[in-house]
Amino acid sequence: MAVAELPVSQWPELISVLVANVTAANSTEMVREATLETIGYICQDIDAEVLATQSNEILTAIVHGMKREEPSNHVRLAATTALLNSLEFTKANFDKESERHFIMQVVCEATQSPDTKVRVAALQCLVKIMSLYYQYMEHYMGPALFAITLEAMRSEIDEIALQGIEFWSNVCDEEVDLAIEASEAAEMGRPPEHTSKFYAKGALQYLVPVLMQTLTKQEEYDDEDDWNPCKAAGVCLMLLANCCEDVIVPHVLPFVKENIENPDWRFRDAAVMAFGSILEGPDAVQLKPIVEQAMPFLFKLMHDTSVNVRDTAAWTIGRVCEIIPDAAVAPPNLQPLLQALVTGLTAEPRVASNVCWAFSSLAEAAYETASQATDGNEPDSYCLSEYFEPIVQKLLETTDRPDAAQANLRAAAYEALMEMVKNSPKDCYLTVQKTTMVILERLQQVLNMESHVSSHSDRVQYNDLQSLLCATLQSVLRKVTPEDAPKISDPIMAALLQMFNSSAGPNRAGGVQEDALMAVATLTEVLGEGFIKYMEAFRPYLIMGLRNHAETTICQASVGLVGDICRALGAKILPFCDSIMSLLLETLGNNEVDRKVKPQILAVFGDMALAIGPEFKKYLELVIGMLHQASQAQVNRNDFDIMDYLNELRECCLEAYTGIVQGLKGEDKETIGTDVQLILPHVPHMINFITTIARDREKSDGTISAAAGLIGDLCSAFGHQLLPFVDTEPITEMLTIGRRSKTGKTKTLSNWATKEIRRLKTTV
Amino acid sequence: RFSQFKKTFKTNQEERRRRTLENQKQSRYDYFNHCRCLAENEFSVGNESI
Repeated sequence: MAVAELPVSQWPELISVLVANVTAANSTEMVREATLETIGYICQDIDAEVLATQSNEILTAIVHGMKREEPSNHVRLAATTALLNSLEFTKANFDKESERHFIMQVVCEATQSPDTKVRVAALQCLVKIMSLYYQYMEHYMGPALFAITLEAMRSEIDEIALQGIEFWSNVCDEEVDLAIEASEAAEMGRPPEHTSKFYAKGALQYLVPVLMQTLTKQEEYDDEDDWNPCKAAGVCLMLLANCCEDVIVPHVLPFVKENIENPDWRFRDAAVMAFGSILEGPDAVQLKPIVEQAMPFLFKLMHDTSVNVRDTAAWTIGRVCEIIPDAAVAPPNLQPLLQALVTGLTAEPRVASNVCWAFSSLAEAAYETASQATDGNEPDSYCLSEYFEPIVQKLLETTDRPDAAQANLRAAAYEALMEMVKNSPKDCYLTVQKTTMVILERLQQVLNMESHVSSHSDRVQYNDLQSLLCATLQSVLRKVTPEDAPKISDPIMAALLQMFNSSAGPNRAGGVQEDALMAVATLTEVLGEGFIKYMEAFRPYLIMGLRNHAETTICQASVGLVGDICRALGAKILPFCDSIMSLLLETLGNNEVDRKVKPQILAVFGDMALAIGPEFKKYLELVIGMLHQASQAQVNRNDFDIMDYLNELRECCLEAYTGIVQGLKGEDKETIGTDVQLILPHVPHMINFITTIARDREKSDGTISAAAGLIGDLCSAFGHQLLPFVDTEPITEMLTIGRRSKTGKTKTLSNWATKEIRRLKTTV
Repeated sequence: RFSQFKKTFKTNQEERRRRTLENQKQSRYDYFNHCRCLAENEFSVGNESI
């Protein structure tokens, strides 16, 4: 009731009554406890702003219940929990030094309570206070917080140790954010608003030994869903490495060296875990020789007697492949690495799953290295070429393992397969072709199994497999040459149509439909105009997708696919346009449709205009009206998500205008065509819209880019008559910002638009 | 924190969706720039006359 009434200024006396309940001398333990619990629930569920004005009163009650003199642990626990829930709206109290000192004193005292629950709640308060009020912690860190949290980390009680570790993980998160803020400020040539106090770096020598000790406390038969200090220590060490970078290495390496061959598996595992955790953060060049030395140990540990060690070794190799791939593909290590990985694919599912991830990263890194030498073009060969076929073969076998449903192995193996194919050079094409045929066969087999699927869990697996096969199909199709694509497209499209047919039936599966739509999108890209022969057969499913307002992801995928089809078919899409257009307009006007579909629809109008050129005239007035309306959208500017949406909406409007202008302009570069004249009455609005964006301090880089593109297109379509519209201060300023953008696209288009305007000026 | 423990890169449907949207945005950009004679990436379209 309080959560419903307080925000609308009802029940104004409630908080005072509750406070009196806690502070009155004759209040019983039960009343104090129940009241503090009530305060805690209200604080937890209500919008923080509603209680901010009453934070003094609320804090009085909470602190009264938390203080040392309070005889009841139940009351202290309820009060400490209430404090935890109130921290967000007590900023005004934290801003005042005396009140802050008082709150901190009470919380620190509560961390020393003999009652575990009170201690845990008080430590949780410290964790949250650290995140919310980092800048105020300097006074308390040295004298109190450091010792309290380090002691907590050493506790034999898991709940307490977890909070101690979490405190330092939070410090790392804060300090990484502050480092980003500092570097951004330095780039802008101004001091940062908040500064890091480098607590993590300062405490490193004390924290690391405790964390490594904690790493040795693994559960032998660990439930992967359990959370314990050992796992938390691994995460904390990783965050410390990210935060402190190079300086962490000498604190950790001696432990790794001493224990990597320890007879006790717990110590071997902790050593590998510690090593794997510090790979990201420190300078890769500094780490590379160390990692190269460590690799043979890791290969050996892939055959360890303990499955935990094998799992951590596989994970660490995956991290090496992802973060320091140069050390992995270096000649002395490459062959034994591949040997270890291929063998690892037959290990327990959790180990094999990590191995798959290592293959994904390895393929990406090897390809990137090779394509750097060819200026980003597809290289002829790379260091994995001679092993490519057997690796792909092994991965295909892994996807078929009877236990592949465990530890996400099947998905990981398909994922690795996709990455191998995506990152393959020319000399692996034969294997890519063979893999395409295998995937197609599997798709057909799976579709034939449909009638045998009975139980719910079978259905889930069946659907997941279809989704994965569609995704793999996309990655192989992207590699297939334009000559080969039409040779295999008939059976592929037939399989996809069958999939739409069955997934839209009584066992409907939205996820499968979406992946199948994405696979069709890839097919349109590789076939181009050749996709036309499937349009009649595919049309009913496209329409069904566009009409599926209840499943946003399907509707959105269908809308995006219309854009792809427009680009692929060009003018040949014309016979389908009336029906598609009416569905797009219907969806746009439907208030029940998720708003995120709508910007996509606007952008697709542009795709269609560009595809059919002058034929778009018949839709022009209607579509321009829609764009006009969308471009005037106003939103609550305090909401970040809504602001992102506004920028997305604007960007899509600009893309739509661009498609329309380019489509109606035609190819003639010099003369202004008659069709494009139809847009002329709308130019003032387009310019107003661009000016609104230019003046908006929260405009995104994407909107600047799209606006610059449209300015350039309008200049080239209308020539001199446009100059007074675009040679204005806000537009000039926006293009200046765009030319300095870090994003290549924005830079290119802003430069181009500036040149187009200059061209108009100089040729007057 | 749980998801940060022994974290590996995993592609799920959401990631595939994000990539598809990104790819569509890039194709649109390439197409526009093809028309502007600003093309950076090779762009092939079905309709040869464009």
